[in-house]
Amino acid sequence: MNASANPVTSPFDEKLIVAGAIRNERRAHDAIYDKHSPGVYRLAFRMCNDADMASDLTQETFIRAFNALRGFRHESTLATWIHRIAVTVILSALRASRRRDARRAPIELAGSIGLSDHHTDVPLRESLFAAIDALPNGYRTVFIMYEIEGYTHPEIAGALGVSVSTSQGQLFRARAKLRESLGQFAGETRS
Amino acid sequence: MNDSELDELLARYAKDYNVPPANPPLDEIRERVHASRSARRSRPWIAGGILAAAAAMLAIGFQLTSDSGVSRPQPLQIAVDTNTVRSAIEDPRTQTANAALASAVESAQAALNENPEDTYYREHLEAMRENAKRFRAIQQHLSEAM
Repeated sequence: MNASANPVTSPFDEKLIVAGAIRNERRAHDAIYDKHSPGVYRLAFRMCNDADMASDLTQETFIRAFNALRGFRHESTLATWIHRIAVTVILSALRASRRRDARRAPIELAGSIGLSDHHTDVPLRESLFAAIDALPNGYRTVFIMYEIEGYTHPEIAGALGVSVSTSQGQLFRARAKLRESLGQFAGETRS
Repeated sequence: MNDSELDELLARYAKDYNVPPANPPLDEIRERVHASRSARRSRPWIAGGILAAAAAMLAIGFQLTSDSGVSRPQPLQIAVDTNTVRSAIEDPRTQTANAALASAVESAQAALNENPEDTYYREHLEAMRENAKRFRAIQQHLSEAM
């Protein structure tokens, strides 16, 4: 799970590391943190676009993960389990902060006034970013994880606690919404 | 522009969406995580403090009821050392104990929500809730006695 750059850890190693972390061994905590924090931070940043907030969310994810390690039953990989905590932490912080509202306004405004010549001047890239911002959180999370960060559907499904087909469906709908927005900004009339 | 062209645009531009910094402050975050956990582990006195505070409040309560000679305190009929009671209620340790209890319940609930199978938190959550309830009841009881 976005940890391909890290050394491969066998399930046996993972169990040993988790056991060490439960015993509060600093080296075990560091091993877990080193392996999974880059992915967690990247995901947090992609979702919130704020360095301080991404740092806070990464910190909160690992504090919660280390505190809850006793409950980890190895029914999924540690990466999936940590990403599930991360997604919970990120989405709940986003709901609380409503930081995306400021950037959502332009796309809503554009949608409300149709395809005026004035708005087709808006750069396509910015339009796409605004359209991604405007996606519902579920779609946006799946889109970012799959399309941008390169997670697989089983990995996304595990992190979000949904089925693989739900993950695939949300990506399909996210793409459709983005195509629609892009088509509008490109001046296309789409049926 | 057809769907496949739009998908191509999506794939090309989406990579630039909210690009994370090349060098995220992961070491700094790691230290914050460890500091937070160390602080948590180095506060066993909180549990002791809560017990001590609760015991002190109980002792005052028992004193009030035994002085009055009735099983239920009657504020207007018993002699209450209001200064003692007030100082116990306003004692920073009491406030700390209140905050610690609330925080402990909240943390355990959050951990349990994440891991419904976590027996460690499940076993302790009810006990913590019960302690918090008793502690609040004692304070309420003493406030009324004043």
